[in-house]
Parts: sequence; C-alpha cells; structure tokens
Amino acid sequence: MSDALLRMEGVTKVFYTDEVETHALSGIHLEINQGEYVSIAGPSGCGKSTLLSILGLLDSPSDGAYALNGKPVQGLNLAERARIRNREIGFIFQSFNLIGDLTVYENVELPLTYRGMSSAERKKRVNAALEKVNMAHRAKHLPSQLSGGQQQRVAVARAIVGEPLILLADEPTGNLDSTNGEAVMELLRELHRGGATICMVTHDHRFAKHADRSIHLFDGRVVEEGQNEQ
Amino acid sequence: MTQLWQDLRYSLRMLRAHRSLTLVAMLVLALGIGANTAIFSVVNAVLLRPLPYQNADRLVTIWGSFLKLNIERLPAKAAEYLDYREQTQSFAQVAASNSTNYTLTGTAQPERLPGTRITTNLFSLLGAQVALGRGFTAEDAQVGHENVVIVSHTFWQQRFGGASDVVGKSLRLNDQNYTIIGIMPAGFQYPQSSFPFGEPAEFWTPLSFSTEQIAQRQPPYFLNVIGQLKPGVTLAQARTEMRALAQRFEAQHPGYRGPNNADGGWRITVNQLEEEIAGQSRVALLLLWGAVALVLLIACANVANLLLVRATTRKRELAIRAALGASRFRLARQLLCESVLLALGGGAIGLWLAWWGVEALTALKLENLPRLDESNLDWRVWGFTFLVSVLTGVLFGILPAWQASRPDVQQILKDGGAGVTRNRHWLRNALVVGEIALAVVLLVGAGLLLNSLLRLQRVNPGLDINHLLYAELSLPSSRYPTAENARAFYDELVSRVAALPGVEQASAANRIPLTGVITNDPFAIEGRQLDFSNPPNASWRLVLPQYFHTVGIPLLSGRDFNAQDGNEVAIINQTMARKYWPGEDPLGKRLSLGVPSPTNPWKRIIGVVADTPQRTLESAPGADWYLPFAARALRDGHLLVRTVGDPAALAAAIRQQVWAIDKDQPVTKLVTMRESVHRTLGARRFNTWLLSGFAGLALLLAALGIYSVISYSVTQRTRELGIRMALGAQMRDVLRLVLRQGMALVVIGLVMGLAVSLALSRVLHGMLFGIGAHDPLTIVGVTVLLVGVAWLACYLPARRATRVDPLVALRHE
Repeated sequence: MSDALLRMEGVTKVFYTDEVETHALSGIHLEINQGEYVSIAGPSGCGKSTLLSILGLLDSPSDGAYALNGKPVQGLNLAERARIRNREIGFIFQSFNLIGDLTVYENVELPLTYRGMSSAERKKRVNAALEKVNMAHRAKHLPSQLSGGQQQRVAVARAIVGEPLILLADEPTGNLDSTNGEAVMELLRELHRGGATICMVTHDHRFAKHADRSIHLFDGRVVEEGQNEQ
Repeated sequence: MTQLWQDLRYSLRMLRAHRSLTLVAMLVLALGIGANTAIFSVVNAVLLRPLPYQNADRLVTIWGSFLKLNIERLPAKAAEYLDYREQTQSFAQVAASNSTNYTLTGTAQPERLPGTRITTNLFSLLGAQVALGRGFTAEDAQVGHENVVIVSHTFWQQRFGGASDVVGKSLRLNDQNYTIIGIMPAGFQYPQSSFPFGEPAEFWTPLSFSTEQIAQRQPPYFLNVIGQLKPGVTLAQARTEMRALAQRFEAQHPGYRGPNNADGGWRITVNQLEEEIAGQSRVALLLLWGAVALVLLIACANVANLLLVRATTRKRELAIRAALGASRFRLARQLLCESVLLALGGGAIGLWLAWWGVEALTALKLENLPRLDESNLDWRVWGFTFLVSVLTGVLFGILPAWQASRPDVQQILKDGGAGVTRNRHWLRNALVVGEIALAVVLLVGAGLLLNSLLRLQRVNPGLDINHLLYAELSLPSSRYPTAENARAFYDELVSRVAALPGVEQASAANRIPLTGVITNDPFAIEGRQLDFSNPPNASWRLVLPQYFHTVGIPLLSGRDFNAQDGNEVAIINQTMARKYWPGEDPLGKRLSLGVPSPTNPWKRIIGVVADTPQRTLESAPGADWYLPFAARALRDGHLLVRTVGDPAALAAAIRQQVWAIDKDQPVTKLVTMRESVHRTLGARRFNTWLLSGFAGLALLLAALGIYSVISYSVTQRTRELGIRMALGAQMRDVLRLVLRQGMALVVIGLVMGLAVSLALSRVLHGMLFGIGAHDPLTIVGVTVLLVGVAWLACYLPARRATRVDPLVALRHE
C-alpha cells in the first residue's frame, strides 16, 4: 500500500429523487499523493463536483472507503468532519464564496477563528497569505470593492491560510475572464511549486493540463487517467 | 380617485396573494388594536362618557371639611343645605339626598333595600321625569306628608310585574305605609353605584326638615348635596363663593370652630361630580391605556418588520413599476394602501376580541372601579377603533413604503433582485430594539405592581380572616328606639349564634376591620393639656365582649370587655399605647372620646390588643381604640362569627337566628371575611393583572419580532453560513454567531427599556406597596425573564442555522 495523502476505494454516490435512483458516482478509485497537483475533468453532470464534495467532506459516499492522511473518514460525525475541513482541507470555489459583510482580512482570517488561535498568530498568518496572493494592500476592502480575479485571489488566500494538507478547487476560473483565469491558474501553479497538494475540478481542458495528472470522469466513472506533459 | 381605487383593488389582490403574511399581520394587529379598544371602552365609560343626566358636566358635589381636624367630605346639615340654596349665586339649582336602607315588610321575607330620601327638586336638577304617575311636589316635603314613594323601573317590574295600576298602591317601609306616586323611567339611577355616596336606590322618598333641624344647625351631617353650576360659571368661581360662605358660617354660627373654639379649618369644598367619581381611577386607567398603546406600538413594529421583509422580495416588482414611470409618491401610496387595509382588517378582528374583553372586564363587577359595568362598544369606541386602525396602518406602513419607494432600479434589474451581499438591516434591527425597549417598560411596570400585590397578600392582617363571617344588620329606630333595645338584640343574637353547631365564637361590632371604613375622632387624655388646634386622633370601634377572640386579634395585656362593663372602660391597640404612653403601662390610664362630660365620661384602659392595618391591608396600623356597646346607641352593626368549618355554610342558620328574634329584621349582607378582604384588593388586582397581561403580550410580540428578524436573517445568510461551515465552523460556532446577533439587539433594547422605566417609574409610585419604584429585585427579574424569552426566540432560528447543509447552502444563489 502506497502512502497516498488521499485514497478512495470503490466510492459510489447514489441520489434518490421521486423513486428514481441516480448514480452520480460509481466505483471511484482515486489516490492523490503528497505534493501532487491533480485535475478532475469532464463534461457537466459527470459527477466532478460530487466527487470534490466527498473529497472535501461536505458530502458522504453511499458506499466505498475514503481515507485522508491515512485515516478513514466515512464514519466521522459532523463535528469531526468540520474539524478536518478546517485544519486539513482548503476550499477554492467557483463563485469565490467570500462573505460580503466581512473585509478581505476578515474573510481570510475566518478559518483560523474556528481554531481558537491567538489573534497575533492569526494576524501573522493572514498577512502572509495575503502577501502570497499579492492582496495585502486590499486587506481592508470589502469583496464588493474588488474585481472577480481579485476576489478569487482572496479566496485562495483563505484556502491556504490554515496550511491545509490539500487544496480543493472547484472550477476556480469558472466565473473569471480568460486573463484573470490565467492569473489564478498561475497562482495555483506557484502554490504547487511551493509544495501544496491540489485537486482541481475543471471542465476546461486547457486548465486541466496545468495539473501533473488529469482524471477524466464520464457518467460518474473514471474513464481516463494520465500524467500531463509540463 | 380612479388611481386610488386601482391602488385599493391591487392592494386587496396582493393581500389575498400573500395569505399567510396577511393573516399573521392581521392577528398581531388585532391583538394590539383589540386590547386598545377594550381599554378604551373602559376609559370611555369611566372617564369620558358623561353621566346620564342633563348638563352632567355642570354637576358638582358640595362637602364640608374641617381640614385641621382631618375631617373631609362631611355631608351637610339641613340648615347648611338651605343656605347653599339660598345664599349662593353660582348654582342654577342645589339639591340634597340621603341614602339609607329601608326594611321592606309585607313580602315573603323581610328585606333590606337601598332607598334614597331626596329634596323635591332633585329630579328636575338632573333633568329626569317620572315615566308614570307624578313627581314630588313641595307639599310632599312638608312634615307629615312625606309618606309617598317613587319607585325605580326595575323595582316596578320585579315587584309588580310592570302593572299599570301600581300608582296609588302602598309599600310597607320601616314599619310605615308609603303610597306609590310615580315610576321612574327604565335605566334611571340615583345615586349611581360609582357615586361617593350611597348605592343605587330602588325607590325615593321626599326629604323633609323639621324646624329644629333648620333653626338649631345641629348635626346630623346627613345630606349629600349636589349642585348644578349656572351656565358660564366656572368651578373656580363657585369655589371662591363657597369659601366666602364658609367664612360667614364661621363668623355667624357656633359649631364651625374646633374644640374650645380653636380654628378647625372649616371649608366648603366644591368638586365636579364626574371628576370625583373618576378621580381615583384616572391614574390607573390612563396607565393601562398607556400600556396598551405601547403594546400596539410593538405590534406596529412587528408588522412593519414583516412588511420590510416583503418589500425586499418585491424589490423587482417595484423597480419595474418605477422603470415604467411610477412616481415615488405613487409607489408609496400603493404600499400605504396595503398597510391601511391590513390594519382595518386587524381592527375588525380587534373589535371582535375587544367585545369579548369588555364582557370579561365587566363580569369582574369590581366595586372600587366606578362605572366599569357601563363599558360597552358604543359609537365612540367604534370611531376610536377605526381611527386607531387607520393611524396604525400609516404608522407601520410608512417606513416600509418610504424604503421601498426608492428602489435602485438599475442595480435591481441587473442582478435580478438578489444582492451580492447581505443587506445591513439597520431599520429592522432598530424596530426590534424599540420593541424590546417598550416591552421592558411594560414588564418593569407589571413587575412592580405584581410584586406589590404579592407583598400585600402576604401582609399580616393582624387577625385571622379564615373561618370568619360577618352579617350586616341595621335595626330600625321604630322597633329599637333606645340603646338598650339595640344592645339586647345584639346580646341575644350573639348568644344564639354562638350556640349553633359549627360556631366557635360570636360577637358584634359597629365597624368591620380591613374594609376601608373607620371612624376617626379626636380624644382627650386625662391629666394632659389638650391642644385644641391639633388634638390627638384615633379610630374607634364599638364592640361586644369576645370581639377580639372572635376576629383573632391577640389580647396583649389586661382583659377583654365583659357583660358588666359600662361606658367607662376602653381597650387600646399597641400603636396607640406606644404613641401616647411611650415607656409607660397604659393600663389604668383614662381617656375620653372628644371632650369629657357627664354623659361622655373618662374611660379607663383595661386592655391592650395587637395592631391591625387601619383601613385595608394597604394601610399601616394606626392608633385604634375600642369601646363597649354601652358607650353609644348602636343600631347599624355587624355580627361576627368564628366558625369551625366553611363559614359560608352557616349563612342560612344565622339568618334563621336573626328572624327568630325579630321576624321583620333583614340581614343586609352576609360575607366571609376572606371574601371581604379580597374585594378591597379588587381594583389593585384588576390593574395588576391587566398590566401583567399586556406586558406578557408585549413580551410575546417582542419575542416574535426578534424571532422573525433572526429567522429572516438566517434565511438570508444561508449561503454565508454554508461557507463558514465549509471552512470548518462547528455547530456551536454557528449557534454562537446567530445568538450573538440576536442577543446584541436584546441587550441594547434592554438597556434602553430599563433607562426609560427608571425615568417613568414616578408614574407608578402611588400604586406600589412595600417596594420602591426602582426595586432591584423586579429589575433583575424582568432582565432574566426578557433575556430568557429573547434567548429562546433567537435560539430557535439559530438552531435551524446549525442544520444548514453546507453543500446545499453553497449551491444556494
């Protein structure tokens, strides 16, 4: 058995609506190693986001096993899952999901506030994260005062501020124009070069190729998996 | 007009389309408007509605007073009444009455019925005429001609079945035959139960004055005088004239100075009759009215909040209207139309609730809240409800209309009505803070009154009010002409009743304790110089032996009266002993009621008993002393019976004993002491429970307000909460976040409310008992209650927030 940071075996997700059984994911086997940059690609409705939700402990598989950092996570209660999300996973969403009433600084600080960390330590980490995404000068602004690209950079800072084991990015360029999209992808590449483990969902083949490895989903199954040429 | 009609039609359609919101808003308003209508109907009856007499606003009462002797509201002597009539210019008419109970015999059982002797001009002063027969003439008031009677419509219906030939028939009253000469119209009452004299009469007889009464200007003080001011004459002018008349009396006649010709502070006071009736209740009623007005304000804030929420969901509709050219005024009018219609609907339901409320209030039959029984929903109440409904509609509609009538058309149409960020609902928060502050004001008021009532109910009455019964008796002078006859009756009655099975002890007294009625008079102490300008004062009672044992007042030293005691002994209470013989043993000391004389000898103190509150439970103990029956002729008295079991069960047996001695002697009243004491607290209980009810309603509405704001906020923040949870927020973090938001509003409202309460507490000062207006226990209690209820109101939506599924929330756009 390899020492994969994240391992899924035979993961299945079934939704039941009006007596109709929909298999969103069927028998997914997936391993992501420490420091790896993996993209999950596929057409709309192929199960990419469902897979990412299960990876991020926002959802549970109907069947199969999932271990993060060597620890099985499928039996954890809500509080334990929240704790793992907070400490071991960093999320980057397509629609940024910044909180409109909080400043850039407060948005980035948010995950740390749930750890009971001292204010001085939080300040140090938030400033470092904002420096990393080149947004320190906008710390006091509200998200509504930023462009889409800037908002996504803040969202990236928020994802990395807690120094998670893995960054999960769900269509991080989906709401951005191509210039800003490229800039965000470059930011992710930089983070990867700095040692970050990243799993990114995208339907855009151009961006999928930024990753070390691409996994292609179709109809809830892995249909293709391979290393990308860099 | 066409546009307004369009607005109305559209408003009705909108209200129908949002049935749930319409229903909730109408119910909230109905509670507020209904409470206001019910209390207004009481205020209307007690304070606003004129008495049912001609020129009721010009009717005044005329009393004598010896201010320096603490004697006020003294009825007039016959000669005084005649002087008021003849020597004054302020009054169009002056009339007098004397309410008394008559014994009606010749029926199945002797009955004691309230009647009133009146001067023959009284009905014309009141603008009343007989419905059948004739009124009194001057001849009826001649001595020897006064055995004629005019009966009330009720009496005529109940006793004669409304027979048309009743005029000319006779009634046997106080062992004399009276000829019925007239019937008053239905609904006529004099005096009214709320008047400061007598109870509603069932019949009226003419008052006649003997030449001695007129010439000698001697007591009794027995005439309740009312006057009708001449048109254009003010109360102040009448008072000035009567002050001058009082000075003339003092200069011209003996008897208007205090003992030993000292200045007794003799005055003739003139008060407006309506004011005198309503006066004592005015503060309490206005307080209750203020309280329901606050409840309505809270209801308005609640509905305004609901409309503000709906306005946010209607942003797009209003933006489209604005884009199509609707002016701001037109948009605001449209929304105001809706709110006024909503309020009118609430008002209609409120009127229905008020009908029930008024029924319940009048069913209380409170003796010490005058004219309560006259409360009903008359045209004035309907008008009030309509006006309040319209004003309410404007009040709660104006803010949402103002806010919604200035939409940012471009932004709203661009983003489809959903903002990128959560709106800062300062207006909604401010409304909730206001609601909480108002609720706190009411809760503090109710808390203080409730605390006072509880303390009052725990007051040691100084006697044992359980298993104690009293019967009111009034012996007619025709059958009991001397003090000895009366004494013999009471002695025999007490010994008969004491022998009844189930009776532990019996006695009699002229005045019953704790019923508010006392007789206060100056007294002299042997060996001490009497200060005639400020003589010592104490209340006194006539009692039979075993009185103290019967009512349960402990004898602290000395002995009780016995059958052999004559007119030369007295028993005093602890307060009197402490006040007038400090550090001394009062036993053996002598005092007299007023100035001693051969017929009013010194009385030796033979015992000291424990204190009781002097008038009612609310009053502190004062100096009281007790005299044996032999001290005065006593016809109007009370039999007191201490029973082993339920005192009410002995009522029939006691009546039988009275009739065994005198078959024509009615028992006016048979009441347990507990019931009697309970009644004296009736008005206080009424105010307390009503205010508490309103405060509870206010708390409920405020809680609903907090709940709706937090609940709406949680719905609006679903996505934010989802993000927080995705980032690792635990349930407790979310719970804390939401609770903190709600409780911040609560704390601000609480602080504001307490500040206002402390500033306003002076209003309540006179209604409190045993606590200050800033009672810390009440304030802490209110704080705990409000924070507890508000916490629950925040907790329910907060708990819902913790159940937000981050995955669903993140998809929620």
